Amino acid sequence: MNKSVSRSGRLTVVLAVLALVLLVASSVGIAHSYFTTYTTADGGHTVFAKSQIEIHEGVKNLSKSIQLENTGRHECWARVLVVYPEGYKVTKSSGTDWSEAADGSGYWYYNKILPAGATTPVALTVEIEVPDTVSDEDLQKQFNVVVIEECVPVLYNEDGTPKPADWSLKFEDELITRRG
Amino acid sequence: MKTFVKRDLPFVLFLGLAVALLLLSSANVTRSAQRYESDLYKAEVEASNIGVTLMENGTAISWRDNALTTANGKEDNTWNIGSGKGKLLNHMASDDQGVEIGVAYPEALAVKNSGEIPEYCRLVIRRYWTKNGVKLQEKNPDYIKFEFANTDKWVRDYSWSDSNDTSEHPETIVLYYTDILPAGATTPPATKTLTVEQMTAGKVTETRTETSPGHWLITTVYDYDGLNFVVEAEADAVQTHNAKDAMISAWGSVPSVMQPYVK
Repeated sequence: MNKSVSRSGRLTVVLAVLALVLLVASSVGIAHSYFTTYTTADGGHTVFAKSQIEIHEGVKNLSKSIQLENTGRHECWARVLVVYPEGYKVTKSSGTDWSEAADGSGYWYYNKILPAGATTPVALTVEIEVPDTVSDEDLQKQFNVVVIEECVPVLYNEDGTPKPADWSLKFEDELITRRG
Repeated sequence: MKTFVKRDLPFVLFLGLAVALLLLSSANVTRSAQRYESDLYKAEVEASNIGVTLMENGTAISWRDNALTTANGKEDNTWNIGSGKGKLLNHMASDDQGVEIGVAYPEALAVKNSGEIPEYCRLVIRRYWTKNGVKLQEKNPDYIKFEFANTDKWVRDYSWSDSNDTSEHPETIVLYYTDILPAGATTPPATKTLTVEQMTAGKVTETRTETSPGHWLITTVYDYDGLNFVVEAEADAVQTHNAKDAMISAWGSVPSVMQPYVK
């Protein structure tokens, strides 16, 4: 008698659990698949922001011939400053490719954009006049006529036209002073 | 028998009811099929091809379509993934001519529905700087400047940025097309131009080192010289049927900017 009750009871429990499981399973949502898709692409380029130029000088007697070469990867505006001893006079001739600063700063500006890898086709010629007070003996001694070159990268308007050179241009500048 | 009727029959009936409920609940078919009916005749059309193409200046750059293929006489949905040129910005520079700083290059990014069902779409644009293949987190993505277009049709989701300030341009820009894009149609461009900002030529770091008392070595470094700017674009599309559920499934949520437009 106990054996038959126990078996019947177990069957009841099994059926009850199975029914409960099926009911719970039926309430679980069906996984839906949706139509979605995507595609990608990328691209990029290197930016060359730095300008640099080299001076090529030819010296003959008291005459210097100055040409500038753009050794950077970017077009630039260029200018030079000739520094010489007090009392000496320096005159420059250049044709129309060079023009002297109107503010008396002594700078000479190359009037055209200097492309990357290009050299100014027309040289800036510097003639040095030694004052009469300098003796022939002193003239044999060395004196310096220093040529300083400067350049700034050519910047463009949105329509692709170049902006004039702005020699005061400096957007941001972090000065780091270090004692080595 | 009496015992069975009295004790076990209720549970058997209960079990049978549960089985029946389970069978009925699984009777739903996938909701992706579209059904069209008219009064005159009944026709069931199942269009299940979804495809999207990324367009740059009117040219297809890359695409991903679900094209039906046939195997053993049966149609089999498999992805036909193809890519065209695959590269953006090729028109900006060549080996001989570099990118000019400050020039607004034409860069019209758009999306074409190259599938057979209408879809909602979005554009995800990422821009950043690299050097030797390594991403530079500290360099400013704002210097890679996009001019946007058709802003009445392409809405920007600013939740991708840290701030809702419209003047900020974070690395990732997400744009949603507000209309349903029919099969075969192309959106108006979301962007118009791309410019490498002037600031890249003016951002310098100057270092002064005193080599000996009273003598200084001044070194000026252009911070962006020699760096690569990178633009990534991703076109995403979801079905319009049950669009909100599809967006949640594909994009994680229904974007707040799209709430007024998604039916």
